Amino acid sequence: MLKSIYNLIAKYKEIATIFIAFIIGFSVSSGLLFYSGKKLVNSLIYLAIVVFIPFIFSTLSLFTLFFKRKKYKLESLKISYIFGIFFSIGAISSLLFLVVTQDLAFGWATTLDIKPSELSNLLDKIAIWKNFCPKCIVDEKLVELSQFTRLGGAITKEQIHNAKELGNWWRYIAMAILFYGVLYRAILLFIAKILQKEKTLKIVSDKNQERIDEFSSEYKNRISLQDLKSREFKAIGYYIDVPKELNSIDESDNLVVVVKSWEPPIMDFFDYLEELKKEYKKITIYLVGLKGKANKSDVDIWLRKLNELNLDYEVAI
Amino acid sequence: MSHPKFVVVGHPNKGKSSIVSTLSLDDSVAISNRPGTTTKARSFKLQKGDKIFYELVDTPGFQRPRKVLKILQEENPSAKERPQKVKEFLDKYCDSDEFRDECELLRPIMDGGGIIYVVDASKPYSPEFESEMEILRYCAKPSIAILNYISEDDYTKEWEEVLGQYFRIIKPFNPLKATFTEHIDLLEALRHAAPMWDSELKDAIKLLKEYRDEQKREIANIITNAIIEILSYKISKSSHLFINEEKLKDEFKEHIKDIENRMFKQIKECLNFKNSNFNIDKRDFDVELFSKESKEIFGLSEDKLTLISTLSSATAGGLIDLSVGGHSFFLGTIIGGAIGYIGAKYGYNELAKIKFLSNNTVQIGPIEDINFGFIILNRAIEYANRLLNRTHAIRYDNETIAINDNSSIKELKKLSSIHKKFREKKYSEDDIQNYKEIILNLLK
Repeated sequence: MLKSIYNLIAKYKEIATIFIAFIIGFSVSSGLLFYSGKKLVNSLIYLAIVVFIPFIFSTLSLFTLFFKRKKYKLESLKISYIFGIFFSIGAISSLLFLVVTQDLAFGWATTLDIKPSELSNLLDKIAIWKNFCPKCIVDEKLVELSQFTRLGGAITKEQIHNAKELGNWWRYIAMAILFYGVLYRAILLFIAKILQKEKTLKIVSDKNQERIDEFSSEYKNRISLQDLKSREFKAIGYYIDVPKELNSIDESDNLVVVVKSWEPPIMDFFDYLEELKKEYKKITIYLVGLKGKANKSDVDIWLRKLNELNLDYEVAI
Repeated sequence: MSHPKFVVVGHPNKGKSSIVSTLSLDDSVAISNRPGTTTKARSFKLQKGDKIFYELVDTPGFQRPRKVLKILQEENPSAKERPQKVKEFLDKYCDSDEFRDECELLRPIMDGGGIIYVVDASKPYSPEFESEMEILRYCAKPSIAILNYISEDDYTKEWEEVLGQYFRIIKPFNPLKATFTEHIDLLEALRHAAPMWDSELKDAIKLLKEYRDEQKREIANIITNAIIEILSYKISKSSHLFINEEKLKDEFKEHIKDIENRMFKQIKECLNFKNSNFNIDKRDFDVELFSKESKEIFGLSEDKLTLISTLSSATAGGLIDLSVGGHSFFLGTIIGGAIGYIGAKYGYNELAKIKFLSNNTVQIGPIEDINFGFIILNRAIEYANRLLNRTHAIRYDNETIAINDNSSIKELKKLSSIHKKFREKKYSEDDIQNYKEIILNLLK
């Protein structure tokens, strides 16, 4: 029972992550935006929890992504980015929902000695979208107007008078979530995906190649994949598709026969080779591994059989 | 009706021999990860006395299925004519070198065997297997497909889709990991696949289960006898021949080791492991019987030992209390318990005492260390359980399994009191029966 639930979750982990992240994002944001009319919503807390703290963590993950990715699975990083993206989308949705259905008034408060002009400056620097959406910023006037203190009555007369102005923070907040929560992580997700692809390609082309070179060096007719690629040939697959990395030319006398190394050679295959021999000047057997990984014992079985039959072929692995 | 016979066929290196070995409980089947190990069809019968449960034929893998199918398909035979075509093929090519392997595997099928087609579901499906399945279809015999898992990956789904078009019954079965229940399940599947042998296979399943119980009882016998022999063992020597204590102790220990080895050998033979020269577990069983490690791995912990000893002595003291009608204010129980506690905590460190008897003889034994009975019992149970859960297809050493000591204190106390009786050779037939029952419960 537990196992089947686990399998189900594992199978649909991305969808499950999206769903859960959205709900959490929506709930957290709704909670932070709770506004009874008696005091202002503290926009600094909201920005910190929904945008900037997650932004810092995502940035820290860059280190893992580039330097430690062998240790950590890219897959789990990917899932964490997906979570972040949909958490932010949930947060934006709740923000927009409340903006439409309620009158929100944002303010800010701090114990630190920060002047409205300084905060305004900082917010302006963060607003990398200001050229693209000039309306989505908070100016110094608004920052000054929306500062509040909890001690002795929270809302000033001026603030009540300019209640509509105080709501204007929402555009800034929405843009901050969109840029730092959604787009930034989408870029990271994209990078993670590219790196993951690169990693699987590497298995075929370098690391594994060294290992194979080591254990099959005694085989006399072996050539390296690099040598093979430098030649002109026609490639055909024996019950397998020709890998994309092989550049096959139709009108060549040299033939490369691609075979699955994980299936042991049987006489049917050698009969087939004999037929091909009549048409082609030179035949090279290219052994490919399952999932790009050639297994030593599989390759050994092939090399031993080829040695045994003493056939005049070259083998690339 | 003749006994059920199944021919195990497939591509080379898919674990056919392993399946034959596991199902026939025979570890003499030649197995290797090199394709082409099996070159001739060889038959293995699972039998007890004259009664044959079933027969399995190990065969070489297909080598030229495409060519064979091409020959069979010449003249486009109707479904009815197809088995005849296979017979004709065998007649024509039985001496040819070209189709040697195909003839080896098709002949026992055409001689009346059912088909067990083996694939490795840890590798992807490929259309090259279709010629093999098509040839088997030409034979028109009862058939079943087995999904073996040689490596970690799992391509069950794609295999099932294709095999389903050729075989009515598809069954996953890993010959290296199969439990006894899975073995029985597979026989049940064979019953459905080959209705003509339904009653024979039903009998075989029943007999096999009985056989297994019988083996376990036999193992309990072997272990009990060995433990009685070990715990009551003594060496008496004329004091003229006595050289020194150490030498006598060594002789004593050597003899006990011999008894243990003989017990291991008997268990191995009882479970049909006759040919494999494997280590049941290098790391654990290479631990010398009398070593500290052996005591740590197989013996009871000091706490448990103390508890059992305390309880046993308290019971003895309690009997004294009862005999004086409680007038001792249960001092008997308390003092008995205390003696047992101290005894277990500080005494019994020596395996066996050397005594100089009055009639000019020196005697060593029987074993006094109360833990030793548990050490030898646990070793025996562990050894037997490893073999009971090891298929006959495994050709490598066993992996370490942690000792799972979950016997209750009550049970341990009972064992401890029987051990005492064994040591003193004062056991009854009931004690032996009780002891065997406990062992049977510990065998998995």
